[in-house]
Amino acid sequence: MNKKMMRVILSTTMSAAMCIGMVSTVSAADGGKIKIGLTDANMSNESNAIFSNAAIEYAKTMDNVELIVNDGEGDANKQIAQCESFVAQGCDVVIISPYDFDGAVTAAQVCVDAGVPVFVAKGIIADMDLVQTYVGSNDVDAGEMEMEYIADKLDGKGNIVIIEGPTGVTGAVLRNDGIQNVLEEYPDINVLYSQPADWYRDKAMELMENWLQLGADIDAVVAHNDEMALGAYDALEAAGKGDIPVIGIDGIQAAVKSVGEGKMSASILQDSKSIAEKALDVAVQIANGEEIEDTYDIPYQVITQDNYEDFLTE
Amino acid sequence: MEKAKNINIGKILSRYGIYVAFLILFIALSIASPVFLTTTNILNIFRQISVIGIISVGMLFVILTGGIDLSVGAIVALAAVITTSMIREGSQTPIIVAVFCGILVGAACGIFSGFFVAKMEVQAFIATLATMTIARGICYVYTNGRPITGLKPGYRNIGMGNIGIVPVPVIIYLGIVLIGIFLLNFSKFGRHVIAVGGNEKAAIVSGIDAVKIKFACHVISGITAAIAGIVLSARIQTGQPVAGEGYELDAITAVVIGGASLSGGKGSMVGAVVGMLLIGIMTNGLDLLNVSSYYQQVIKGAIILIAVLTDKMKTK
Amino acid sequence: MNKNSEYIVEMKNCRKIFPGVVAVNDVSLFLKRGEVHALVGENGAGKSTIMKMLAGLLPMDGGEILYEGERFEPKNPMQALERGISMIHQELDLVPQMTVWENIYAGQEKLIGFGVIDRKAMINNTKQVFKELGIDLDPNSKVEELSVAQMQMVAITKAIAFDAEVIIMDEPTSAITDREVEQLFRMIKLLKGQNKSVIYISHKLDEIFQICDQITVMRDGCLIDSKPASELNQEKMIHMMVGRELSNLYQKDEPVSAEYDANEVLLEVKGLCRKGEFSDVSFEVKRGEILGISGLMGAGRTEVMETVFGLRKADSGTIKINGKEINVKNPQIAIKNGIAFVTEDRKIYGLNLMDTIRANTTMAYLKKVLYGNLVLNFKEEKKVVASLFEKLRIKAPSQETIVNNLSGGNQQKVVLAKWLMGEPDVFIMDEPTRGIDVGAKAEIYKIMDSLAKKGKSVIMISSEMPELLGMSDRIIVMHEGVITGRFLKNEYDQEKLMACSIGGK
Repeated sequence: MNKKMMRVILSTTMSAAMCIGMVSTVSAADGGKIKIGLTDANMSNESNAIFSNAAIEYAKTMDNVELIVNDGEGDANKQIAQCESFVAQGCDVVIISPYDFDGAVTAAQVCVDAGVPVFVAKGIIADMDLVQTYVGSNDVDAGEMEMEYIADKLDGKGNIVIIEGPTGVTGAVLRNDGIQNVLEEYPDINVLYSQPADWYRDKAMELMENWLQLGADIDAVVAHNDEMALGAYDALEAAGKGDIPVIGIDGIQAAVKSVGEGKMSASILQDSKSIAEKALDVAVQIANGEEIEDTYDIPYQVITQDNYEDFLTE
Repeated sequence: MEKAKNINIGKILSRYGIYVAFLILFIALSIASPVFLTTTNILNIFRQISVIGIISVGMLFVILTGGIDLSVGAIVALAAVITTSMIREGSQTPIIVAVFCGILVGAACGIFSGFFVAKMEVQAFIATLATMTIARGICYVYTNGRPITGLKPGYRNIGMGNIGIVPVPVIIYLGIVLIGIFLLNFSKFGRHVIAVGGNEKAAIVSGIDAVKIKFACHVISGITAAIAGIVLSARIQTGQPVAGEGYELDAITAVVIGGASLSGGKGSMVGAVVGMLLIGIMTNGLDLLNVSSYYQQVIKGAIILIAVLTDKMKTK
Repeated sequence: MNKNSEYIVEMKNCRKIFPGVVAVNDVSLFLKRGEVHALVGENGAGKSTIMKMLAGLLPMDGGEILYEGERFEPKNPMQALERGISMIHQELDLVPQMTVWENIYAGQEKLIGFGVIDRKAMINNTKQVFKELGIDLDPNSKVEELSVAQMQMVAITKAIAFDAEVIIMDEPTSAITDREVEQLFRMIKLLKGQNKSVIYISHKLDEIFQICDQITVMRDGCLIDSKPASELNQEKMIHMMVGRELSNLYQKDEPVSAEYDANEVLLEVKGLCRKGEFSDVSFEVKRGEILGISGLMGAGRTEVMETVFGLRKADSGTIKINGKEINVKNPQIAIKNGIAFVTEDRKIYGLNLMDTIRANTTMAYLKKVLYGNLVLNFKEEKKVVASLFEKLRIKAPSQETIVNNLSGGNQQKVVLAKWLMGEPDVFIMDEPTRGIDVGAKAEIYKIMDSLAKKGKSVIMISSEMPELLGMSDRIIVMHEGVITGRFLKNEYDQEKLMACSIGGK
């Protein structure tokens, strides 16, 4: 039994070591490469995963770059810890894809205090003076674009519901601002309900079911992301109301397909891949001491049934 | 002769299995990453585990009585929003008063759970689940779902400051661990906690007030969770109503890896610290080695299983 | 090979080694068909261990078992059950929430088909078997509602329903009353009549001579001897078990000199009532006295003592200690007033099995080894425990040994040590010698006697007549919650006590 014990411990440690070997992209030798640390907001979210994976793929094509990607797992504290690690590892540049609008400020501060250049990508933070630049789209634009689309569809009149991202989280706040900006121009569009479903499909579905239960006369659904839009659509379809227009943001594959099948009306694509690639380019520029701009705007694109095929990757 | 030797090695392994695993991991990471064994990084690890580490001290007390406290994550958030709301820029309240209020709120949550668990004999799992939901709800109501920002600059020191080279959260963590060790191993209270957890009926017959002991453990857990919430909010400079989600499970994991039994009566403070460190250096090491977080979760799960298996072997 | 061999089970040179201990050392045991075979020895002699090997609960480290002449080595209890070997443990393996018939057929349910159980058949069969065995029980009642004795009947019926040829009973009478013992014996005789074999592990020597054909004695893991019961008597057997003469099991001397006032009443209980449990219970205990409390299970004896100790609340009545009336709301108050309670089931109410001897010993009077009122004084604690450890002759490697690893007798000594540490005046002992071996029993009697001699009061609840008769200065008898008899020393005998126990005056 005791030998077995030993075997269990040893084999697990060894297999852990093997895992490390397999997935590690770090080579021991530094060799004058530019070391870039990237902390992702939350890789269990598809849009963020696309962003990180695109960065990893793109880094492979650059022979003078060493990229370290850490997952913030949707926790502001984790992102701070990871920035501390980047500093300890001697990264030349740090890219933060912030999960928490306010919490990520401390993460950036950690880098600034250590004299490591830092900028944000894919989302902004409360104190943008702290960071060197922003690579990404403006979430306000996304909100405006999706609301414009729906306003057109409704001819400027009707009842809508809004499904929000987690309260207080960067993307959700800004996307909502965008939506509100457009709504001001359309006094005849009436917001029946506006509630958070925390980016999750199942929560959005529940929310939608509850609203339907209340007998609301809904003309359109505006969601802060595609996951929630899909969830809302499922609930509508189950209630035999699949013709109500539903729109989301991010352009994830499931949403693109849904749009293609004529289910979801449209999605606004945040071009995570282009953001990732641009971010790495900018990081290299910073490391080389080149001039950079204040922001790099990667525009959104509207995916509709007419153009969805261009966005299918699978 | 042969046999006797085997038994000894096995005994050492099963008894100190978690420490052995810790050592192996430590050495492996030191070799694998040149950064791992630097002072900055070691301090980083301690700073990174301090928040959940503080929670795990209180959690150990509850688990020792045979209970469980699921409410700590929500208490983290509640204490964070209460404290931060009192010290927004321009507020006259001294930071120390705000911190004290945050801790009081944590203690109040502990009293609430303790009342239902100890006095009304509701199962700890259910009672603290209720506390968790209520506390989280209060967070949202209190903040209207919006994070609290714009804090007095001095507050940041609690989360990010250093004394010498040692980060303040680490000092708080180690201080609480020392108090925990004192209470658990050197005081009457600790002996009574273990007696109640090991065999509540026998403890009662021996004249120990089991209700009081369980009650006190929940209050301790509430207080440590609140302190953790204050440190966290100082670190992220925000009172987040969503903060601390899932922290209860991380704290329970640390305590269990450290050799505590969920049925009570067994567990140690040093074990809980080592369990916390094991998780800490693993997360840190894997981050340093650029291992995807997807794999990290698999490895974390494996370590929990090893810990529990080691424990099983020990009792066999 | 030979199906008609004289022996159904032949265990040859069986051996079991636990870390550091040879628990069973080359023991051989032969069991005939239709034989009731007693297996006796002090606790820790290896009786249960060797039977667990036969029942497939423990693997063997040496030797062999022949079953019906064939080599047989069960890897798990299921294999043993399939061959007809069934072990009935002290802790009866029944599911309390299930009914009697569900328990009997658990694991071998009769099916109609497609996994659907045949309720009717199983209930009828159960009724049939109960009738044959003369058991008056409803197959549909829940096991948790039954008495210990009834549960035992169910466990035995379960063994029979599994077509057991060999039934091993581990201390079957340790928790049942004399009358229930008689019913058990009737059942054993019935089994014997059906040519089934029974292995009977027990500490109660008189029972063994009543029903057993063959007696095998073990000591310290070794076989001492195996003889037909007719060739042995109690003294010889005790001698074989302990390896020494237990000339005077019940040590009882007159007090050397009156260092205390022998007429001083320490504890006085008057008109104690608790609805549904007992009513109008009054008694007193004097310094230097051992008061025996007799009665059948369920007579309310334990309930009265738990009330005196503050574990239950009295509806009415008064409790005076040293002439002062106290309101015993909880055990803390009882302890503060010098009452100690050695409970009936040490594993449930006496000890934290996972902790050390040291921690268990100081559980009740930890305040005696504190600096101030909070901090432990380890040096003092170790000293106090060491002296008790020695005084009670606890057999363990050190005071850091985990209590779970001790034998029953030594565990009981730890419970006693816990209370002795506080030097209380009144010792309530509920079945203080249940399930422990003869040697340890003698030592516990000695402790009781020395307590009395020091001017303490001892109240002993016991279901074992010999110890009641041997140890008590006075005996009171309870029946269904009321006191039905009070006897002074030399006034009582077994018949009188029994008569009061079953309700006569």
